[in-house]
Parts: sequence; C-alpha cells; structure tokens
Amino acid sequence: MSDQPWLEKEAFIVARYLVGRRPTSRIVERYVAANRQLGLDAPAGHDQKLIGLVLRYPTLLGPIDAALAFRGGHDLFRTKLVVMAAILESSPEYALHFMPQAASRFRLAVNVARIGLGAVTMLVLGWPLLLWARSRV
Amino acid sequence: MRCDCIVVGSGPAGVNAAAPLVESGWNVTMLDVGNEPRRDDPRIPSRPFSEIRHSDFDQHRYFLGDRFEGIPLGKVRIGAQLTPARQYVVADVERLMPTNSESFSALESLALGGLGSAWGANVFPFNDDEFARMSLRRCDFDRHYEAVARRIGVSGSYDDLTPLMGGYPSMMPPLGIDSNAERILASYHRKKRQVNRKGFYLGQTPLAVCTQEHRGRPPHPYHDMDFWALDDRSVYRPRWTLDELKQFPNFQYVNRTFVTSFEDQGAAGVDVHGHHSESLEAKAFHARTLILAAGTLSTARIALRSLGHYQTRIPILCNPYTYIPVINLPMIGRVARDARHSLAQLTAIYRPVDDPIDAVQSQFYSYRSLLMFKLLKENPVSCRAGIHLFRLLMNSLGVLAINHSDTISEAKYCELRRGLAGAADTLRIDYSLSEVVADRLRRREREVCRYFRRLGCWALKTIYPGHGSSIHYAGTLRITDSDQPLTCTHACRLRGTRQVYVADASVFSYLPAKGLTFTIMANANRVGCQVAETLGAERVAAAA
Repeated sequence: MSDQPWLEKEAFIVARYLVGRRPTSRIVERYVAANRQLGLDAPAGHDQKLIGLVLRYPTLLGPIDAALAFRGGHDLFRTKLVVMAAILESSPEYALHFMPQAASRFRLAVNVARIGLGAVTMLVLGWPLLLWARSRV
Repeated sequence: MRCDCIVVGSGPAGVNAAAPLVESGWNVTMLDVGNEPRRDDPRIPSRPFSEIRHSDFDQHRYFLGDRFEGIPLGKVRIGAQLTPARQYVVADVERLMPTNSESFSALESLALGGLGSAWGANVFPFNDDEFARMSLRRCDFDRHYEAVARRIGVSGSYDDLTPLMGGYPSMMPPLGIDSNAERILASYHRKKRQVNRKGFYLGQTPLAVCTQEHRGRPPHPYHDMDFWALDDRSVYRPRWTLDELKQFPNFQYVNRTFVTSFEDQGAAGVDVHGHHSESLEAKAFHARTLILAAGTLSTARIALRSLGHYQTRIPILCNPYTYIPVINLPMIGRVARDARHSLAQLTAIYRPVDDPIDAVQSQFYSYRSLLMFKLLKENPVSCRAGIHLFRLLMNSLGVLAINHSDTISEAKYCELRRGLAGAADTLRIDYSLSEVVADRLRRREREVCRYFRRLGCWALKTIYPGHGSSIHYAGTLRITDSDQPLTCTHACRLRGTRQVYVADASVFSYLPAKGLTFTIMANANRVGCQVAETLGAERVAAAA
C-alpha cells in the first residue's frame, strides 16, 4: 500500500474507465510508480479539482476526458490517462484491448458512428465541468 | 602500433572510412566514446511483436522503460521514435557536447555506432543533379556506393524509383511489404500513368536489411520489432562493420575517448587530443593522418576548436521534416498479415513538373509496433473512445514522413562558444526558414497529400516536430571550389591543414530531400580510399 492511497484509488478508477476491468495489483503498483517518476503525483490548480471530482464521482471521468481531448493540449489529467493506457497496453492480461480488431465495413461504420455519438455526448456533458474547474481555481 | 591513420567516431562515416584503410593494410586507430546499452537493461526477446504482447510479462520494461522514459509527455518532439532501449544512443551528449538554441533541436550521439545505431536503414543514393549541386559527380561515387552496398547488405527492387535515384548498386531481393503498403502500391499501379505525368512516383524503399544470409548476418525475421531490437543483425548497424574491423591485427578500437582537438604538424603528422569520457583524464594520440567522422556537429566542434575559430559562424543544413498520420481507406476493416517489418514500407518521390529540382521525398510507415497509447495522446476524442476507434482502424493507419531539401543561407548557422570556468564549449545554433520557403514547403506537403489521397490514403493531421527533427545535419565544413577557411577540398581535406580529412556529412553543401546516410557512407569510403592512396604515395616517395 503506497503512502498516497488516492493514487491507488485513481488507478482503479482509470483502469476500469479505459478497459472496463479492475487492474491487478501489479498494474496499480506500476501506475503509482509511473506517476511518481514522471512528476504526476502532485496535481495543482484545475487538475487537482478535476482529479478530486473524479475520485468522488468516477462516472464523470468520461465527460471530463472528452472535453479535455476536444480542447487539446497536454493536461496533467489527460496525461495520467495516457500513462495508464501505456501500462495496460504493455501487460499481457490487457493487451487484447489494444490489439487491432478486424470488422466488416458495415460493423465498422456502425461502431464509428456509435463512438462519434458517444464522444459528442461526453463532450457536451464534460465541457461545463471543465469551465467549473477553471472558474474555481 | 605505429598509427597511420586515426579515425574519430564509430558511426556510419567512421567505420566506412576506416574499412578501406584497414583492408589495405594500414594501421588504423579508431577513437570513440562508444556508449553501449546498460548491462541491466532488459533483454528484448527475438520473437514476433504480436506474440510478445500476449505472453511476455516483462514487456513493459522495454516498451515503456524502467523509468517510464518511453511514455512521451508534451508535444511530439525530436527523437520521439527513440525507444527506451535505444536511449543510450543519446547518453552523455548534454554533458560533453552542449548545444544552445531556441530554434533548433539537435540530436547527437556518443554511442558505439553513433546515430547509425538507431538508423531507419533507408538507402537512397544521390542522383547526378543532386551531386552537381554539391560540386561533385555521381560517377565518382558509383564504385563507393557499390562497395558500401556489399559491405552493409542492401535489399530492394528495381522499380519506378530506380531512374530517379540514378540507379542502385547491387541489391538482395526486396523485403516483403505489409498488407497496408500492398494496397497502396496496387492503387498506384492502377493510376500510375496519371500520377507519373504530374511527377509523382512510388516504389518500395530500398533498405540496409538482409533478405538472405550476408557476411554472417541472417535474413530479416519479420517480427515487427525493428524499433526495439538491439541485437537483430539483419538490419545494418555500424557496429557490425566495427566487429569485422576488430578482427584485423592492424586495427585498434579505443573507446571511452572523447576527442576535443587536433594539431596538424604537416609532414610530421597529426596530434589528437581528448580525454576519458568519464574520468576526464587527458589523452593524446599521434598519427600520420586524421579522419574526422564524429558527425556533422561534433566534427564542427573539433575543427572550430582546433583552428581557433570561436564565435565564427559556419553554415548548417538540415532537411525540414514533417510527420503526417494517414489512414488507408482500402485497408479499413481488413485483416493485416502479422509477419512484417517495421521499417519504411514505401517511398514516394514528388518532382513537380514545373520545378523538378524542388523534389520532395516521403516514406510510408505502417503504424503498429510503436503502440497505441502514443496515438491517444494526440487524438481529439476521449482516451476510451480512442482505444475503441484505433482498435478498429489500426490495420489501416500509417505515417508519412516527409523530407524537404535544404540549401545554405545566412539564417542557418552555428558557432562555437567557449565554455567558462572549465565548462564544456557550447555550440550555438540558429536556424530559420523564410516565409516564402516555409510556404513552399507547406504547398509541396499538400500536393503530396493530394497524391496519396488519390491512392486511398487520407491525412489525419500534420505534425511539425521542429527544426532539427530530421536528424540529417550537414554543411558545416562544406566542399567548395574556392579556397575559403573552414571548408574542404573535393578530396575532403580540411583546408588550413595538410593531414586532416572530413568523412561525415559536414562536407555536403546541399541536402536533397532524402535520407543521406547511404551517401555519407559512400563518401566516407571514398575518403578512406583516397587517404590510403595518399599514404601509399608518401611511402613510395619516402622510399625513393
């Protein structure tokens, strides 16, 4: 157990968000270590607010992620998601979630449309949250 | 061992300059820092990428790095393709060879094999026009291209690119291209006549990779691990030539040696000074001749320091470079063959009909083995949506890497500034393109994208990693017809000296829109041959 339990909780929330599964203890350890090594374990300002919000209400992670992605830039919050994605992708237990998936063109079109619709919905929900986080810093 | 020639550097230029000298029986000493991978670095298995992903519980150590140095933060920057296992290539550079610039990001190496240890293995001879712009002749290089091709092993096909390159030296059969590239090439062949008329040509990239057994090196295994593997001998690295040279009794390799300066003593030879790369203990060497092959920027430092030219501006050339992620529509939804290589699959040359000199060259890479998370960082949808999307599109994703040519101008220069209080000297670099030139480059990129669109490949985004990102540097001690200080003769002898030669890209006075490593090696071979002849003539004269 690390001396930053919120980082471990964050690891669980982020891994479930990205691949729909609980992370193993190995993944959690690696995530905590990566945050420390890369200087991501001391969020401040609006990053701290957003992370605090997600730790209390994990379902808000998707909308916030969508809003940050649309806005662009390299926020600490989004960097954490990429770090977890990297750790999951380089682990055999989760590799399948990141490997190419063949699909018929029809199924592909349906999936892309679904993803697009979902992305827009998340963005609409997440944008006010971003504005709120920035306004209260 | 009485030394006939000192060669500084073990990169593509250094080993190919040393080889003809060593093979002719001359005593050669190579001075090099020679950093190698750390002993505690994880061993990368020689297995296919897809197999590793499903089975190796240590893969995070080499895919991400033990210090997570493989997870890039911030904007795409120079050296983004340098994977954790290859970070040793840039070790100690900041400490021993600092640069200072707001406009240029230099990537240099003190590794064994230099930047050649992370080379993309693209083989592009320069053609007649390109040599003419450097006051050189292609015919003077043919036998050196051939000699180098036999030494390093080149594979490729004779196709639409061959006439534009001025012909290729002998090659092994080409590597197989992957499913993504096959579809693009098939589309090109269907539309060839229309696009050729406008100056667009496409073909397979010739590569310094073995497709059959060559000088003890095996054929390529198609594991798609070329950005990660260190020990795959099918891909040429200068250290394979260095290993061959070490078998000769008249060759000596001295590592942990950082060369700082020389003193040309004329007929009495050359004194070379340096220090141990760790302890900083002074070292001195002597030889009849010296070949500088430390890389354009390092060689410039040594020359400027030795000839007393601090704060003297010298030109610098660098291919302007752009990455464009693309999606190959005909490949969407299709299964890709698993066995493949990760190197450049295809090369496109675009020579505008109205201005054929202003050619642009691009390489097409399929995207898979550099992992998905790097794409998530740059995409405009949520990470979760991005994972779903890229899983569906991964087999059709690629990257176009576009090189533009570069010519000398006053707005591109470097100068050496003396370090204060024992600190290392700093190389100051300034590099800028005029608006007119920048607009022209962007226009050419749009034109290249338009041709790829006609082949089914659509650009997703354009990424400018900044000046210096091509890692093709040249021109600091360029060959000139006239006698000017800090330039070289056509034989690559450094003016102001009698016994000092330059064998790396410092001597090129123009950079065509293509990788230059193969031509660096051919020129280094040329320099080595010339120095061997000169030594022979001096020996005959002395005997007489």
